[in-house]
Amino acid sequence: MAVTENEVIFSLYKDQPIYRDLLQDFVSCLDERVIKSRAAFENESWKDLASLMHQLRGAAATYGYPALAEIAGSVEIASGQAAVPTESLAVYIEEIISTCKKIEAGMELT
Amino acid sequence: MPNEYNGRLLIVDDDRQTCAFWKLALSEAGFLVDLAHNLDEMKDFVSRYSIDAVLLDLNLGHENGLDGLPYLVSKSPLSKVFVLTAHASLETAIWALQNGATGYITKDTAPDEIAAQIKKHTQVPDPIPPDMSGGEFARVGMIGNSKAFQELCQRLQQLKNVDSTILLLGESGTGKEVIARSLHKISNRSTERFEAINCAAIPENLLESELFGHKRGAFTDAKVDRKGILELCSTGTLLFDEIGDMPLSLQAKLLRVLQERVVTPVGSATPIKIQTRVIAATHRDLIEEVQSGRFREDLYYRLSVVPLYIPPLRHRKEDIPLLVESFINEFNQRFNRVITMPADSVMRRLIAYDWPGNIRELRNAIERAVVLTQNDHIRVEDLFQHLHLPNNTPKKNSGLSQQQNQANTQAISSPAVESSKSTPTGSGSGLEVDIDEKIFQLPLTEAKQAFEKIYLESLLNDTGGNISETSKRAGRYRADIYRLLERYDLHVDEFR
Repeated sequence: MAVTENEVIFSLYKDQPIYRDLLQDFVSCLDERVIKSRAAFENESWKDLASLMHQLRGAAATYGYPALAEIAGSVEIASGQAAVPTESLAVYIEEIISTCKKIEAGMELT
Repeated sequence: MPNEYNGRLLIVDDDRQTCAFWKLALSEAGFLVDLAHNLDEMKDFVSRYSIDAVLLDLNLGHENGLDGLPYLVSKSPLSKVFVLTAHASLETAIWALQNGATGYITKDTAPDEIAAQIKKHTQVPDPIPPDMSGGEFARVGMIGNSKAFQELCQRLQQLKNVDSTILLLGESGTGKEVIARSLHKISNRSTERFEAINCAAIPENLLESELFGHKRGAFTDAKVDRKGILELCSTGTLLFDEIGDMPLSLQAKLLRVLQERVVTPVGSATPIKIQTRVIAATHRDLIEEVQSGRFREDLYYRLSVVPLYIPPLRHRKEDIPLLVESFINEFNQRFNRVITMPADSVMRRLIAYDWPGNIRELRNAIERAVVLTQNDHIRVEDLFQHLHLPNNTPKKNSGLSQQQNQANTQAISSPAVESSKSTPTGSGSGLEVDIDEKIFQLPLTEAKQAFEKIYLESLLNDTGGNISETSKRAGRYRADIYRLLERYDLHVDEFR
């Protein structure tokens, strides 16, 4: 099946060969980050979720994926609130999963 | 690997993938990059190496990166600290800059831009013209006008372009690293690399690879070839700080390097020629170390081609006002304060005190006073707070033996500074506090130090002064324990 441009996300550094291996490593570990985040969400471990999202936010910004950094930042802020908005968080987590899939698709094309 | 060298960088971030990216990006920009994932690792690096800049992440998982800022400002004053964060927060940025950080970097900043920002602040100033007169040493960070200081400067002038090994001897805190750095800056190698390595703080198994480099596959973690610090400094200057603490096995290898001027990386059979200028420094009596069999006699003679004695501060008291002025200016700038020079009465007290911790102790005292004072002037209480031993209450739950408690109680009952009216005369460098109460009145860094000392005494007491057992129980390297013993002026024999 053909992949449209809307379904993929590329790193800002995709054209710089020196970062290629590191980008591949980062993308291949996204699954692991997502699994841990989902588990923290399901267990309502808000502190852990905030911490995981903080790391993802920083790493995504570093690796040139601002869209992922932005959503992770939203989850970090929401999970740090006194009354955690679980419904909104569920939506955000789904958004993170779909963004990661687009990033993986983008990596396959580069 | 780029040809240019822009300095040694330490990145402190708990996310390993983020670290890997910055390491690659900034190595490409000509920096030698080390990584730390928590504040303890950061402190280890700072104690081992001379680091030009630190990128300090704000959020280190269970730790707050900003808690490490006072440590960096105090223990590594020459390092420029950049706070690294996922997102900009004005409040935190202001706090960081007011507390000694040089800059603030968000993680979405392009690597080139970050490298440029770091370079801007760490660039080595232009070499000083050789015909410069009296101000030459002041410009490279040496301050003083006493006779002892002038004699020292005279010797440095004679030695600046001589490639012979120099041995700096002097008590802890006398500024041996500053002098080594100054010697490099005024020498004809000033545009080349300067590195300092603390032989006491690096585990033996890492020291060999650090010094000589290694080939890929030489040991489990050697994933790529790495040049050793001797080779990296081949046209520059390398300071072996605390050379008296170098393990005997490595002393033999260093001797060979100094004699033959070649290094052989671990796992390689090919020697590499080097022209590194070597400066060694120690606070130990090396002759005594030789006699006791802890230091090789042949290495001693090889190192002490030109011995240079750095006088303790109590032998150059005329320099105290100049040093105080310089430190106040430095900390005013760093902490955005406008503290004025101390009143004559305060200065007299500063001069009367013997400063057993030498310039380092004076510098720390001024830093603490600048930070703590509520006014625009420095008070005696702020300066000597580290010696203030407030009550005679016996320690509780400190785990010390009766003998130790007695010794500590005696120390407490004869305070170095009883009130602002007295003249400080203490000569100990340790912190003695009641762990239950007074520790909470100290700034965090000093409270940690106070606890660290009591903790170490307790372990040494329990183990009968057995360093191996102490290091095992503390979960630290033996070299770390030795470093702590020195820092808190503890003598292992007293626990045996």
